Amino acid sequence: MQNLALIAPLIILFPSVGAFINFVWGPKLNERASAIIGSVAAGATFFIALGMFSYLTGNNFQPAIIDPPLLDGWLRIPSANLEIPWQQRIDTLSVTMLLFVTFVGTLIHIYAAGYMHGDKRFSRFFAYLNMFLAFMLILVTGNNFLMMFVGWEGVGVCSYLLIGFWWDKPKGEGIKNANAARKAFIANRVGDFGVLMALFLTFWTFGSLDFFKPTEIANPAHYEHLVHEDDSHAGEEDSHSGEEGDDHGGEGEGESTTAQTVALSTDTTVAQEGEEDDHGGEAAADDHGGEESHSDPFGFYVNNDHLTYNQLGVFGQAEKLLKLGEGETLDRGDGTQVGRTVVIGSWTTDIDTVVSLIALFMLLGAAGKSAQIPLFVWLPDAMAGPTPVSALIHAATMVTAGVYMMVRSNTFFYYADEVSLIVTIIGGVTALAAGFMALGQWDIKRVLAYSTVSQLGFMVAAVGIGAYAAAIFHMMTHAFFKALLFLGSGSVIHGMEHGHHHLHDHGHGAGGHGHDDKAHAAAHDSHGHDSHGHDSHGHDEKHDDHAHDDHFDPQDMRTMGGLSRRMPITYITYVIGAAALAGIWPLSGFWSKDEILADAWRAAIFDGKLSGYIALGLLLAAAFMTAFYMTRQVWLVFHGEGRHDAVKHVPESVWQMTVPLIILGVFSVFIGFVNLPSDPGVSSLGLEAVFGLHALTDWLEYSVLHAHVGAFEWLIALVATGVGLAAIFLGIRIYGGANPLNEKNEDPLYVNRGFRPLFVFSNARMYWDEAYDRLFIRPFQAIARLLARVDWDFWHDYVHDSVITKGFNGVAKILSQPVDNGLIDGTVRGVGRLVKGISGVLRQAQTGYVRVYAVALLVGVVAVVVLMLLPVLQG
Amino acid sequence: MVPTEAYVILSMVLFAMGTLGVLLRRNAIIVFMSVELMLNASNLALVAFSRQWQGVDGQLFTFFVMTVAAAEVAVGLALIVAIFRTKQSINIDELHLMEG
Amino acid sequence: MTLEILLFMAVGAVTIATAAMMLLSNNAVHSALFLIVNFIGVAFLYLMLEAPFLALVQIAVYAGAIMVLFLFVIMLLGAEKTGAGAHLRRFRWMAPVAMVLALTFIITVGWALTQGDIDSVEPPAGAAQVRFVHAAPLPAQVAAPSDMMTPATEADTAAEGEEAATDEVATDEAATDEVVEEAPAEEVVEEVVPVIPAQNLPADRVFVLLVNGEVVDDSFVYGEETDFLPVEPGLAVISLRGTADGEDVVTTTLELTADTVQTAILAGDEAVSFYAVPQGETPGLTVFNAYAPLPALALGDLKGELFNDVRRILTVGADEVPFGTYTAPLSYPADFPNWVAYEPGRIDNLELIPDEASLRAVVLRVSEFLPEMRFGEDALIVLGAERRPDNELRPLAVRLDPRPVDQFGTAEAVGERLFTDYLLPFQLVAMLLLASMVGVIVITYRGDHTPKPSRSTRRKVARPLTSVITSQTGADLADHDAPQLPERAEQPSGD
Repeated sequence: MQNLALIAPLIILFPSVGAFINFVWGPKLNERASAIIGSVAAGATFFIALGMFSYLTGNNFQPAIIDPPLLDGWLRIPSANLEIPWQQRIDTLSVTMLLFVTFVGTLIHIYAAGYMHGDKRFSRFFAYLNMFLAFMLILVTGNNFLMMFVGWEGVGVCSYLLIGFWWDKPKGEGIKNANAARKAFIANRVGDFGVLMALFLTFWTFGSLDFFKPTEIANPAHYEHLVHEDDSHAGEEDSHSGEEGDDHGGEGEGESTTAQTVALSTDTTVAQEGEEDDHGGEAAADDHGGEESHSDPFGFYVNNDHLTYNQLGVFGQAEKLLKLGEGETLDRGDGTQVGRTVVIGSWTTDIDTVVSLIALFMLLGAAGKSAQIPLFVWLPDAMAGPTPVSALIHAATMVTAGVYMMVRSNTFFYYADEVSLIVTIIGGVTALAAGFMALGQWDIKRVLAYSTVSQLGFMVAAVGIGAYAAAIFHMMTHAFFKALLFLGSGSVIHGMEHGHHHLHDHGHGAGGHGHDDKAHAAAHDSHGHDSHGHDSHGHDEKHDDHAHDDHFDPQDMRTMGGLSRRMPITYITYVIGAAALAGIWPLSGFWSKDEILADAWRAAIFDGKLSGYIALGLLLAAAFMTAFYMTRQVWLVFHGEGRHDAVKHVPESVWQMTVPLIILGVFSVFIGFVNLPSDPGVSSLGLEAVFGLHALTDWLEYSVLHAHVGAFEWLIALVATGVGLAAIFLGIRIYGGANPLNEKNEDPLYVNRGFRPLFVFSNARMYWDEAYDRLFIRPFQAIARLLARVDWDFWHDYVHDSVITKGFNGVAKILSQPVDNGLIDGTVRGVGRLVKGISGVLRQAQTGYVRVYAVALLVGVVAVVVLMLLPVLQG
Repeated sequence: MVPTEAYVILSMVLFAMGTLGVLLRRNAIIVFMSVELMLNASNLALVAFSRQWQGVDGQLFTFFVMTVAAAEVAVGLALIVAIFRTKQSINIDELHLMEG
Repeated sequence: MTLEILLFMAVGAVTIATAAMMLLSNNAVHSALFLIVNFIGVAFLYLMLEAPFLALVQIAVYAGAIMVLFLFVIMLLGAEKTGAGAHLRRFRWMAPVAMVLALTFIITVGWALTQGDIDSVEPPAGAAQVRFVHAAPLPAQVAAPSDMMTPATEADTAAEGEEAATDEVATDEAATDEVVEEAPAEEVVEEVVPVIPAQNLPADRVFVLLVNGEVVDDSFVYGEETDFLPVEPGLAVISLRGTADGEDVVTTTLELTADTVQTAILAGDEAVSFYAVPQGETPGLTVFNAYAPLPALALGDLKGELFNDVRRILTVGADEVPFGTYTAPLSYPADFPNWVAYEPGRIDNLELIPDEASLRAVVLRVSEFLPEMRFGEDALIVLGAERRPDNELRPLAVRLDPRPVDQFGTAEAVGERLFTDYLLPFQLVAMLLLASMVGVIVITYRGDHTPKPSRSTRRKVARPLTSVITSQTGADLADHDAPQLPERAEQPSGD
């Protein structure tokens, strides 16, 4: 099974090759070929990810580090002693990411094959998608921060390309799309500054960027504990450890497999543990396991104590440094010592501060990529891209990169309490604010976009309270149900457009026209903010000859209503996704959200952490918002009566679109069971017999050092469910009628005088964009304009045109007339005349007859001979 | 043993005769042959001195002179042939294209 | 008036006469034929001047190839008669001028020759050439000439040996005395030294050879010979220095005369010294006796298979060769004779029986070394001894490659210099010949001489950059200023 990990580089290679083919031969390929190439490349990555999964399960979850030979030494600066290896890390965290990224990504590829049908840059779109996938996989599998950053930037570029994919739409929409892409890119640049600073600080402090070195065990305490558990087969009082032991005892593999696995990556020398480990189960294990507890019976290392400081990755080094006492030092392994003191330029500080700084900068980076306050503004606008892009980027993959980075760096966050508090606040506030903004939107995708921001806020808050496994769990469930929702919304939009075209083709002027106008007017009513960045679908181009000038917006929920009868599959799956998002038991969203809330509650009650209280309060409110806006959306879109004639002609989508919806729907229901909390009681429906308890957390513990298992809290579960149900009930009460909107297509909340300011505030997206416009963009433009004026008026008009030009002309005039023409030319002409005169005289001597030359030569020879022999003659 | 002086005098006389041939004859081929005579005269002196000094270098020089003379003859005769083709004469007094 | 001078005068007269006839003949063909005779005469003079190689080249190249070429061209052009251009006779002033110049030349040089005395100049003396042969089977600790026998024996052998040897071997008494002082301490340790191949001898058996304080061989071991080394004539100090301790073991002075070739042989058993053997005038086989155990050796020819019976030994002219001396050059037959070296006076008892007597009788089968030699070759054989593990000496012969004395003016001598010192000029001359060959072909090539009509249209002059841009973009740059600022920057979309 060891060899299975060696195919890991293919996971990047396949989508790269797919992208390459679609780039180079794209124009020559038909849609079918492009779609097949792109989808097969994506599907292959999923199967490789499955292979990685089976590798890990077959190797007792010990990570593999793969060095693709060709890329060895891709970044090497000998003079700076900098060498970053190109290593792919296959561990439980990265495989978790791999699995859902490739799975959702594959489904989105298939979906896009149907959705993008007829687009003129069809193959280019698939090339971008594949490239995006390749970079995302680099990001996830890299074993060092720099590889992660390569992927990080790569997905940034691809998201730029994809959001602005329809940059050439007519009537200014292309400009809007391009602006949305630019906005995403620039907001991410701000975040990248944070990532880069974090990278620089990490490298300066630890001298490397590797997460873990190949011989290192990522979570030694956990691993050691497992070995001892297996050795002793002893029951544990500690519930946490006990369950763990049960789990692994149940697998029945025993110690020998474990030991062999470790042998693959470490020396077979007997480990000498330096000191007693303070792990909880150590004493009991010692009693039973006796002599075997310190070094593995096979002589394999069970922890990292034999490794010197320099042989550890940055996290291992950080752990060691942070555990040092004041003034203590540690041998690096080459004889030099390292202590807690870190010197950065002229600034000397403690390792605690540095780690906090790194975490803070990472938070900034994560805020950019994962759309947190204050950098979240790009994400709603990014809905300008095609819907599969929205699903791929915003649901499944790119936005999770920030959370992934934070979870991967959990060591830093674990030890940086103040920063964790900031993280919690940012995550919680983002969750709440985005949820609030979502409920005032009319655009179906925009609601989902704010929902995504809100859910990412949940994950970030989870990182803030130290629930790293819960963050990943929520990321995973969210990837499924949010992809489902996005694809479902795409299906709706698709259908609306078809209905609209159908209407224009056949039913023009058939009575519904006034209604149409009404919708049109509503779309441009007083809340003018929602005219930005609509997903103006590419299919329009095929029908441009219709020249319809009514601005029918297929994404505007005010034109929908009653679609459940027209598209039943979309409706059912959409409701599943919405319910999962709202956290309704027993769907996946319930489990992941509940674990975060339970962790927050435990952090607040048991640990007394401030961040726990903050997170609990903000996230409960956000959960209410979530359920409310999803209810509003479902009822506005699918229930009641159609508010536009187009609804009557909406067809169900093609199978390429519905099949992914169904698959995602199934997963959205069941994926939550992979991480059932401890003590779920009846809530688990007995499914723990199938999935086991907190399987995902146990799995993640092999790579996430500070992961911990979530326990089921009846109180929190009931409260959260109650909040969700209340929000749904409220939503149905408000939006449940045949037509919840009034004759002017205004929202009931807007109609209600008491809620109108709130709704306006939400609809205007809390005026974030306006604030940024005033605070940053206008001053920036003013400065740019000023500098342009300086450049033109001063440098161009005055300096270049007056000073330099005139001065140059003057000097040139002086040089040309008296100097060049008079002096130099005169001299040359004089010499010429002189030579001509002399040669006229001398040429007379040249008769051309050989004999004359010969006699002249002879005269010379005789003269020389005479002169030479003169001394002899005289002597 | 014949003294070196005798060889040198002989070589000198031959050289002078060659010189006269170059200066006074008008047939280009004869002129050329006179040049060869001069070269031979100098070769004779070289070999004579080589014996005098018991060094083989003089003979080597002679060897090189012979080689160069062969090359020179080849080129010179080719020139004469070419000139004859155009002017139908090898009288060097009729050739003064190089007049300044 | 020797025959040689008469011959010279005759040949010289012929050369002058033919040169004059060449000049005066009106027929170019006759001129060429006279010149051939002249060249042959010069070739004859080359022979007399010890330059046989050049003489042959002169005939082959000059009188042969070059003159054939001349005749060929004369015949080709039909230019044998030169009287045709008489009406074009100009430069009448040239004849007297030329005569005067030629006379001036002859008189000046001739007078200078009578003033200076060329023939009195002696050629500079060349360096002496010496090679060194190690034929002394030294024990680990070299004992310098000790009190036992060697000084006396050496003096005796030198006295009764041939005169040439004694002249040139001079033992530096002072140096040997110095070594003697150190000797007794080392003499105590007489140990068995195994025979070891020369390549991996221990350091105390490898010596450094110095001539006049200059290292000429830094690993001088038993059985080895050096190349011939040029050494300044005069007294040369030769020292043998141990590599182990860095002290001089033997120091000898050799008197070297210029232009001689000699071999200095390190010989001796308990005491070692250098012996000089000059290269003989007459060719033949010189045998040097470096076999220390016996005071003298004799050389004989067994005539037939060896050791079958008691054999009659034919004398070959070296009945008694004492240690440290050498024979006169011996002539030897071509059929690889059975030459042996034996103890003088033990001829009768020459038997196969391997007892001590017979071992002492036949010391060495010299003819083992003879088959490698070509008949008539000048060669030197050193009869040495090899020390066996039991400290006994075993006979050993070293055959030395002869080095012929340079033959002045032969093809071999010329060729050797040509391919060593003059290789570069030689190559250059070859290049010159090649070039002249190509040149001849080019000059006489009679190809299509009608000149091609030169192309009336010149290649277009490259257009200036601005016109290129204009043609590409359609915009006339000259009429435009630099791009202007936009009237109003586009308003940001705000999201």
